[in-house]
Amino acid sequence: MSWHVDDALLERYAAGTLDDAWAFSLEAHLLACEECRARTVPRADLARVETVWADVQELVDAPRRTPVERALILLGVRDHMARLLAATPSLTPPWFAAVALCLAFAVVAAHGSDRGVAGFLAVAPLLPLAGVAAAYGPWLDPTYEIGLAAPMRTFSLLLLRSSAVLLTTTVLTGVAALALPNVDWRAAAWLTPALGLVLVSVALTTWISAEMAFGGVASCWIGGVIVAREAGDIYVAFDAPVQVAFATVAAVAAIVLTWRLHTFQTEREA
Amino acid sequence: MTETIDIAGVEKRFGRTTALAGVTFGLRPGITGLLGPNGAGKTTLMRMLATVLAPDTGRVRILGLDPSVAAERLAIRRRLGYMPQEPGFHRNFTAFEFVDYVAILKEHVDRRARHAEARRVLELVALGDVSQRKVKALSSGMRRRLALAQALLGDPRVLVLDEPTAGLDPEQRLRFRELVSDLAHDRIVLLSTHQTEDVAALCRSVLVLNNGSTLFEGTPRELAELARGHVWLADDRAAGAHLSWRTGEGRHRHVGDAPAGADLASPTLEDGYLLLLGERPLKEAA
Amino acid sequence: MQTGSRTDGNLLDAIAGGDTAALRELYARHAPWLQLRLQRRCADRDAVDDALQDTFVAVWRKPARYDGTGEVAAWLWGIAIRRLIDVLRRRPRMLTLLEREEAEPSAEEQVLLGIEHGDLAGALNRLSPELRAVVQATVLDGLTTAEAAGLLGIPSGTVKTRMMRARAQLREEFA
Repeated sequence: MSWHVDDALLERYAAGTLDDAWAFSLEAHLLACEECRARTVPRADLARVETVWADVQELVDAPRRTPVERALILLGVRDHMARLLAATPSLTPPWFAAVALCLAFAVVAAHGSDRGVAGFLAVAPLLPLAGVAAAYGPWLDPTYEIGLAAPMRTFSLLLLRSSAVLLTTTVLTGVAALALPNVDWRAAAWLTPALGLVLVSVALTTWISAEMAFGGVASCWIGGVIVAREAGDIYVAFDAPVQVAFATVAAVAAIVLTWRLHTFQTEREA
Repeated sequence: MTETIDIAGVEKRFGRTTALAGVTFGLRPGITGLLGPNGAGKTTLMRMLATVLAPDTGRVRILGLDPSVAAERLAIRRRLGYMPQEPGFHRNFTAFEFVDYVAILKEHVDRRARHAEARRVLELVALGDVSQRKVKALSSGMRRRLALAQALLGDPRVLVLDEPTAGLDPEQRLRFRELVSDLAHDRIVLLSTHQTEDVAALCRSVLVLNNGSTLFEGTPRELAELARGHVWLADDRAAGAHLSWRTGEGRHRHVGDAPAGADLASPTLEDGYLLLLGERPLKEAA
Repeated sequence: MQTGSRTDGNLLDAIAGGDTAALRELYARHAPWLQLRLQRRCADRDAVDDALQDTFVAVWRKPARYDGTGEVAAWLWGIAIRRLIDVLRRRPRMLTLLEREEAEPSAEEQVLLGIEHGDLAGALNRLSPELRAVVQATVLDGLTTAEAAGLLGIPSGTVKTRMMRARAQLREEFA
């Protein structure tokens, strides 16, 4: 390139006092000449250039938000909490899909036979239990170990995650229950057992390992349902006295949990 | 706040296994190496210092604070960075997203400040250029540096690094060592390893652990000196040696009770370490 | 330029691979002149800053849009001016045409201009600011009528009539 912009022209261009004809030439030239572009650098408003860069960097670096995260933020959750919650394995679309699938099967089975509703009721409490177990334990959380050493209060996070999982799974199950044949009080008979099972499991983890707590409670539930079925009427497992029992158990477990809060601050023994 | 870590008479049992059988030592600013074979109790000790695990008995003071007191434990955690042995990463996170996530766990609530902090630690470990790359696309050496980066969030006074160079090839190990030595400054750094070269290269003091007890606490030089007079070279393998192997030059190097008139060699840190381990039944070789 | 430093094309390739340092480098090279050029089209500094920001975020997100032909600088300008139009569309219109000192070229410059452009420059300078702005937008910046209308805050029809007047006036000067 034979012609380059001289400094005087650049000064006036930057100051805005250069007439249009010269400015047109200069601008056209800059598009093709990196040397002259470099010479304009010190003549721009560099403070603003830096500020804009900080904004660009923020937008470029900003972690991508998942749909769950965006939904949480819409609901008013603060963005850092939303990030933590959205990272819960049982609050992700694949998990919801799996739960929905289970429920769909259970509902279809219910329509298929007259004992089917019992099957739905037996399975329904296990779904929130599985969800809370997944949110809870080290199995599905890659940053479990690092998280233990972090100042963030383990229990608040667990509580938040478990509550969110419990809520979402319960809502999904509730919606599925509406699709059952003959919707009566029995369609909601899984609620108190679900709550009871979850609270008891979580309370148990303050003494024994998560695997044993969740696994043990799930087995007891399944065992109880099978016993009721063999004894003749499976619905015994969901009758009024059982409902009251579960409600009581849930309340007691909640109290125990509050009392054992301090154990959440360090390793829950394996 | 005192700039030390003090451990006295710490014991830890898991069921019938004793992981730590009365460990006592003190740490000052600088890099301390924790040497020991697999199963020696290193990870248990590291986890204890990271406030993840509580001892059955004994006294732990980190920066003068007591981790068994909730409020003090929180204070410790705010000044501590922990790099666990097998750090896990969320599958689809980028390097930046991972560090940002851990920063949230470390209570960095303000978004812009947190992002700036994430950028800062990524620059420290020379991962700034790949911050937008997914973790699964990073090499193993880079992932280790990423795990180190999260430990550096918040500029902690204490760094607990559990086998940070395990499984890295020599070049990656060298780069990692350079990084740690640059970043140590006046922090208290405890680095566990079973590579004696790491210790020889980096550490101001050494701790040797085996079967849950401390066998040695001192400087790398002192550890090497333990083996003075106990390392010798011979053309053939000697029967009475505790350990011997053929060196590349064709002679045999022995560690153990030297016979009279043996051709003594200058002891290395590794010799001292092997001698110490040999004084008890050897567990699997490091 | 230092030997061994990357070309703009190299930087775009690196950006496509997720290299933020390359974006930083590209920004350092081009943001300053882009700012100056945008500022000559719009007095609103915030609008210019927004447009600059949007430009480089767009470069980060779609570096592959550069097809490898022509100067990267020209491609960047194409993005920048259109982002400016978007920004201006979104906000209530305040200042559009830059009010700058209509500096008379010195006698020496007039002569130089005459030699260089065959007094096209002089003729250009004799157009009114509104006509000149339209010529700048359509000829120099390569905008369509609609885009020029968006930039200048005038209806498309007005853009067309002003272009016709500008052409007529310039033709008259050279007749």
